[in-house]
Parts: sequence; C-alpha cells; structure tokens
Amino acid sequence: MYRLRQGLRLRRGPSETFWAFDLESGEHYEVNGTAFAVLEALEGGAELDMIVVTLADEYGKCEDTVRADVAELLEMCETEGLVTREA
Amino acid sequence: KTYEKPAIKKQ
Repeated sequence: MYRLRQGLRLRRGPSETFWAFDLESGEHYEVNGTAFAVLEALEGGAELDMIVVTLADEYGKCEDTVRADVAELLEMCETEGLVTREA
Repeated sequence: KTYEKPAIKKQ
C-alpha cells in the first residue's frame, strides 16, 4: 500500500498543469494529469487496485497497461521520497 | 478521454 508523504502538496496550475511541492526539501515536480490523479487518489487514501480500476474505466484503457504505468510512476515517486510503501 | 502515461519530472 502506498501513501503520499505528509510534506507533499499537490497543486493544479493554469491550463492543465499540475505540480507537486515537497515542503521539506523545497524540490518541486511537474506531473501530468494522469500522475496527478494517481497522487491525489493516494492522498485521499485510495488503494492501488481502486486507482487502477478507476483510471482504466475513465480512459477506456486495459487495466494491465494502467497497472504497469502506475507501478512505474510510484517506483519513481518512492525513489524521490514522495510516497512511502506500507505493508 | 485521451490516456497519457503518468509522468513526473523534477524541476
């Protein structure tokens, strides 16, 4: 189970731009709409499976494809310390 | 909607 780190703030910018701000390090990240949806769902406490099903339905994509893409995103986020993985 | 692979880029 992944959780968003507490010091991370998600913000929508103008014209479909999305940002994540790390209040502890001062680093900031530009994310696309899909990644923003994933991080926002994590912030709301959603489980990975639910996020995948929701995105696959919303975009009309195969769940396996979405799951692989989301897993790749979360690995990057974990490397950057933006999310934590809980047992 | 058009699907975009989730992406994050450090600034």
